[in-house]
Order: sequence, then structure tokens, then C-alpha cells
Amino acid sequence: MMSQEEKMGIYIFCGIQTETDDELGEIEIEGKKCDLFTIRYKDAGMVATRAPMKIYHPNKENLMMHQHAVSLVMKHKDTVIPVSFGNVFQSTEDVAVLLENLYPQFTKLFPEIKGKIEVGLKVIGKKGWLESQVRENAKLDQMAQKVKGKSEAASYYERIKIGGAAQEFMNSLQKEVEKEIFEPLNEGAEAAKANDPIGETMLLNASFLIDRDKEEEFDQKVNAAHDQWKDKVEFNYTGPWPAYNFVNIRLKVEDS
Amino acid sequence: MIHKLISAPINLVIKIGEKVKEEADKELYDLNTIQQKLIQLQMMYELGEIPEEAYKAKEEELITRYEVAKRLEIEQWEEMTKKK
Repeated sequence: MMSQEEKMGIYIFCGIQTETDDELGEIEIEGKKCDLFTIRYKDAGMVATRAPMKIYHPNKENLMMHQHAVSLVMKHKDTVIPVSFGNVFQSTEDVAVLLENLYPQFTKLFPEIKGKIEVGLKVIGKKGWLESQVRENAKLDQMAQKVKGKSEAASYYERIKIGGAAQEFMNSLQKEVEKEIFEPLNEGAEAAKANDPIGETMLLNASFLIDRDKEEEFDQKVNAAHDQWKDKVEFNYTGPWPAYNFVNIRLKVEDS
Repeated sequence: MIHKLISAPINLVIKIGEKVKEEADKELYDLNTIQQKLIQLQMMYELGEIPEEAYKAKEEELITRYEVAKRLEIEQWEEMTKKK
């Protein structure tokens, strides 16, 4: 008897604008090599592979597999619509119907994202620099001195106050980074989005939609900002990605 | 009259409770939020900011929430595989 784990399905990676059956390369899922292929409808295609039908956990290995496939597609195609991680369907026929239902949305999106890529920039405060900033902040420093040596119970409310002041302080640093890094970069982008920072030391979590032709120019701007800030923060600059933060596929049927 | 005095605040509490639950559900079962939290958790573990035991426990909780949220999303995707 075949176990549930062995049941194969069709894992989809992204939508593309295409009129041909493209050969896009192969990827590795859980140690097994799998070919990427396209399921087509009119001038649209869904890039897919055969993979075990199950819920894929968003661990590093699986997310890298998804990203790798999308990167391969982006090398060959200039109009790529992102699809969320971990979607597996019963059959190619199901994906073909899905594509037909999504087609009205795809035709609207194609001209908007043609030749565009997304890049991500995370700016993370270096521990040493953040600590020196705290020491320079008279209000925070004074509050920290006050609780020094006191037990947690004795300084309970003071510690809550410090928590609030620390949050306020991080917000002011985030605003400074937004003004000094995000806003100038935004000028060279088609669109930009500042997402919520992840973790306590992140000062910026931004996505930019840029023209492929201007990628190098944009990279240089990021490098220039990095040179200016490298003693204080770490830059985590990634891409090119499809427009994950600028395209929202609605899972409902729309009229053409 | 007394029941009115009592029932009004209770209703209010229920309404506020519902709102809080709605927000909590949004946070609890939003795929992107969970995915980001898992990445952050992994980062913290790799940087040695949390011990393995705490990492494993939190990871398991997030994975369970992820599975619930993903199943809900898959249901929506599957609806889209039906001929309209």
C-alpha cells in the first residue's frame, strides 16, 4: 500500500508570461533532483515540478529550494509573478484550471511587472554601536543606573519604564535609518516598502521594486550607503526576486 | 435595573474580547508572520541567543500554527482548481 508521504503532486513556484514550453533547469527537493516545467494557458505559464504531496515546513532548506527555483526562472524570464511557498496540487490538470482562473489577474499584472525585480534590504544595528548609543542617551543611562544592584522585584516598575524608553529609543534609530538610507534609495526605485523589522536589533526591513536595467545603478547606491554606515550596522542585501511585496494574488475568480 | 448595569459592561467585555481574539487570530494564523517568526527564531538560535531546548519548543509551536494556517490557505487554492 502506498503511504501518504509517497503520493506525488505538482509543486508550483511562480507564474510567467510565455508562449513556449520552456526548459528552466532542475532543482533538488529533499535530496532528489526534479525538473522544472511549465503548465501553460494562452500567454501565461505556471512553473512547477513533481514533488511529494505534503505540507512543506518553511525551514531554511525548503525555503532555499523555493528561492533557487525562482532564481533559475528569473535568469530566463523577465515577467515573473511570485507564488507563496509550499503549494502542492493533485495534478497538472488542477494547476491548468487554477491558471485559467488566475489568468484575468495575470494579464493585469504582466505589464506592471515586466522587466522589474524586487530587492530586499535589511539593516541590523551592530551590538557595540547600539550599546554606545544607549550609553550616550542620558535618559536611558540614568534609568539603567537607578536599577543597578536592585532585585528584579524591587525595581519591577522601573524596569517596565526602561523597557518603554528602550523601545522609544529604538524607534528613533529606526526613523533615522529610514530617513538616511530608505528614503534616498526609494528615489531610485519604482516602488518601495518598509516592512516591520524582525527582532530587536533590526532597524530597517525594506523591499524595493526596481527596473532590471537600473539594477547596477541601485546596487551602487546601496554600496555607497553601506560604506557610510558599515561601522554602525550590518547590511543584508538580497535579490533579484519577483515582486513578492508588490503583487498580491487574490485567491478568487475574477472576470476577464 | 440592576441587570442592565451588569449586562452592559459584560457585553462590552465580550465585544472587546472578540476584537482581541480577532487580532490574535490574525497574528496567530498569518502565514507570513509565522514564517518570519520561524526565520527569526532560527537566527537567534544560530547566534546562540537562545538555548536549544527553548528553540525546539518554540519551533514546534510555530510549526503547528504554520500547518493550521497553511491548510486554510490550501483550501482556498483548491477552490481555485475547480472549473468556474
